[in-house]
Amino acid sequence: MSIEWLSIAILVGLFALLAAGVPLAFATGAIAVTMALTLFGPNSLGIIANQVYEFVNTYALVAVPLFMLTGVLLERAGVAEAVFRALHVWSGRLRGGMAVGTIAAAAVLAAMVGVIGAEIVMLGIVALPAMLKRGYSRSLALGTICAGGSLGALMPPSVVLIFYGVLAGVSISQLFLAAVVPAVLYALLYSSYILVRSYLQPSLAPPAPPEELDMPVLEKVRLAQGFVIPLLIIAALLMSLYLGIATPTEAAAIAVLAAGLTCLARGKLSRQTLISSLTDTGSAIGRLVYIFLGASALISFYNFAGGTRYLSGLIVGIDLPPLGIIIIMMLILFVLGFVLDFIGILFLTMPIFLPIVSELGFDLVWFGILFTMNMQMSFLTPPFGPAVFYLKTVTPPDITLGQIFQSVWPFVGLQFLGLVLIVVFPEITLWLPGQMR
Amino acid sequence: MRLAWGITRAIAAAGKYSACVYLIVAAVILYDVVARYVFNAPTYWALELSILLAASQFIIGGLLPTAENSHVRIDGLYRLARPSVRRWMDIFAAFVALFYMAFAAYYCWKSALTAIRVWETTASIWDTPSPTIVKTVIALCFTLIALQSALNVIFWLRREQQRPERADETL
Repeated sequence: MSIEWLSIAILVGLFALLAAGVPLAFATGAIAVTMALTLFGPNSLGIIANQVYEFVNTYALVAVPLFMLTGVLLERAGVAEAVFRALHVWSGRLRGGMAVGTIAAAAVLAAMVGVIGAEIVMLGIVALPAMLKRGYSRSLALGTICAGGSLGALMPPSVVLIFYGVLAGVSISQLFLAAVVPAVLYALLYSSYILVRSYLQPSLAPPAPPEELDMPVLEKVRLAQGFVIPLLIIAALLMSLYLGIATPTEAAAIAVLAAGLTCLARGKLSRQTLISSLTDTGSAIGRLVYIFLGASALISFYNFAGGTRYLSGLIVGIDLPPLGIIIIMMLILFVLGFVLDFIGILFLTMPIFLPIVSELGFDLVWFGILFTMNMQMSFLTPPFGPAVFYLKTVTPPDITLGQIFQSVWPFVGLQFLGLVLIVVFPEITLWLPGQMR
Repeated sequence: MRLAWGITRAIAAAGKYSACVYLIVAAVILYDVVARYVFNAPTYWALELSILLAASQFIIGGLLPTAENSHVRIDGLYRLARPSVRRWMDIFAAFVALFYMAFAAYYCWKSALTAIRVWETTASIWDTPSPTIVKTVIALCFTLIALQSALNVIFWLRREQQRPERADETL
């Protein structure tokens, strides 16, 4: 079979299995096995055993479950409430202040949490009822939470960045630092959009009640207590990475300790909480790891068949300047984001893209940030938008999936704008890690 | 059938409680940080031990999602399907999982048995049989996932829909 037909057969087979409801991890793995049996003989399957072993033995990956555990523990500790309360009271005089406060709270939480699930659930439980009660437009409130909550996967410590770093062989500390400014940029874009919209259409975002606005200044300042622990955790994470005194994995262990102590201090640390936090973490990482295993087996056999070379040839063969090729890659990622999970996209595309990106002379840290920003859009877009599904698990029953999906489009537009900015001005992201080199 | 459900519950429980190793992992890494900066004597075992524990759990972590049918799927059509159709989708998916995992398990056992025979160690200062342990865990877990997928096919064919308690999927 020629490589063109093989590539088409794999794509068709993969999407047929996925459409039939086969989990991503098993669909990719089964196609890999079929390809190995028909093209290379059964003994070639031995490489699967090697791959699995090599992958799980990666030190950097130890950080992933620890950051996930931190997120779940902080969620159970109810840290979100205090942060959100302070921020929305402080921004009470702004039109749309509560939504802006939600974005600010989301950015603070994102800096402690590495996954979007825990963060969206926190915001959905705390900020959504508050905004709806105040009479905010549903669409604005839902979109704000989905977009703000997705920052968890961009702002360090992002799990997406850890996986990218392992795959691309780039320093995870560098990636974390490079992600700080883009994440803040997104938060600023979202906030500006909310402000502009609520000034143009005041009915979308009713103002705060007088008792909140007239709260004595001293009491307003006292609300800052809610930030003490989050800021300590964030400072510890960033300083250990910036000064190089602790690896990301060590920083993750410190974060787990801090989150555990937070739970304890707030009287939320029962044995049940601990066990359920651990169980959620264990299954979540298990799902990710098996997606990796299937996807990397598929990519290896495809590579043996000459597929990677073929696809690189196709992409490089497009008559475009280097930046044009990057833009083509971003478009491919964006389209895949509609139907695939970020980890599947990462492991299926990066083995093909990364060699091209380095050959064209681009910075792999920069490309990693572009990838992660691109995946922010994939969290929101239908039909497979994880952020929307997470939010749906905690919304009142009369809010439908369709309503949430409709609410995210303005934010997807802003994410696209942010992505364009980073493509055009790479310094925005590369300045901070450059300070450390 | 009671045996089949017993196996399913045991697989789910193994997947569930294995995650407790992360407490040990965090403690070991924290101890190493303290030992390095406070006692000025970094350990020689913390790195190896934390990787051994985490690596094993990464693999064991796939058991619970298999037992409760919660692996990540692109569920656009799956959600829309009528329950009778969805049942056949589930049966098909479990077959696909069985096919892949059975082959993978066979070749992982080959590699694990080789490691056991030569008693593969890390050849570091601590020199633990960590590679042998991890390879055995991989082979064992892949076998269990294949077994669980086969059981899932039987459960759906017999229309036994009751499943172990589903963990909440907020991650």
